[in-house]
Amino acid sequence: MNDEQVQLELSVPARAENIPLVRHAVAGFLDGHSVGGDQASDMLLAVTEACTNVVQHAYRDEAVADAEIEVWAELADAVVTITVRDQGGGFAPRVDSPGLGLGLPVIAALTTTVEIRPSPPSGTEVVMTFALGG
Amino acid sequence: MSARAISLVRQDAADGCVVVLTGEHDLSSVDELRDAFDQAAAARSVMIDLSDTAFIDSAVLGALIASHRDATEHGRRWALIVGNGSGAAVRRILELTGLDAVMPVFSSREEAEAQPFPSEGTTA
Amino acid sequence: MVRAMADANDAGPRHPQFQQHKVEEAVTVLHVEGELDIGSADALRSALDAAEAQGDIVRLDARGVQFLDSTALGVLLASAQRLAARGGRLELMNASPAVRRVLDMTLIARTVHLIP
Repeated sequence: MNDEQVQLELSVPARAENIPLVRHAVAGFLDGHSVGGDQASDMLLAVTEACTNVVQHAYRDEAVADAEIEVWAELADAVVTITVRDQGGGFAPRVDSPGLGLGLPVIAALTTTVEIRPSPPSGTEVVMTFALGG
Repeated sequence: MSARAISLVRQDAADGCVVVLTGEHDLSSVDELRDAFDQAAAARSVMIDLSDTAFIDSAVLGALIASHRDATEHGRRWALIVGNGSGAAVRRILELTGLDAVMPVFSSREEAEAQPFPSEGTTA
Repeated sequence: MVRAMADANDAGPRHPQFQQHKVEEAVTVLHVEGELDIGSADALRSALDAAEAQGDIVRLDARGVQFLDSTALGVLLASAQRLAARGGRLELMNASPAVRRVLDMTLIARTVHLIP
């Protein structure tokens, strides 16, 4: 049995056109670990919502040319953990927020746990866990 | 797997327009979706067919909700089609947000077409 | 104006060509010719499954690959995962600058081994 957990790590420019790329990379990671069906579907929806939040909110106040979204996925002890990180301005509620604001509640409903924490110096990390199995 | 596409199918006899989404849709296609929904709004009856849609998220929902609201305000018939071929995420996002209970969702175009048109001269 | 987002090249699906052979006991080389996108993802998966069955190291010769989209990337990743889980790996050789760009951007080079 291979002890080393093969993880996924990627960093893409924070643009809408790269959201499918993140989703397909995570899909490949899950498929490679034989995670499929509705479980995988929920994870792909959650990571899409998290990336959408970054694209829509994280870098809004600054024209940051190299703004990136970093995504990690790992599988350990029957738990998939997907982390989405940005270095933008954080998730403070804004009156001018585009979109419906449904992203975070949807993520909360799809995940086993979700933690949103600051990622110094100025970013945010969304850590989503999904317990596998029935 | 189906490539992403948005197509408009005119149903001249019924003054209807069906917007068919295939493949996966998210923030990266939402502007095109809004354009398509705007174009469809010229018809008296609009159907948005997700029966072959692999994936949608809350960004797409936003466009669907706006299209529905616009139709309601202008007395157009509006329907969302979600069937067995729709991807798991399509049903999931509708059910998690409770919108499957609030929007007119049908499992086929035929079922949607059986619905009455909104009555003329709706009052606020 | 609505742009149909399907591939403008509607002459019908273009099937990529796959050809495999072993170079060493453990290494299977898979030559690919054509575009790797959502339309050919199933074919790519089948070709990789067949190569994975031959041994723990699969070396994808991408000289003939002009285009690689995110769907194909996901398929490559899945294969890389499965091979790594059994102590093997997926290698990618002769990647064009366009293909390298996709892989570099996503840091996938950690999981899919790019041979310079």
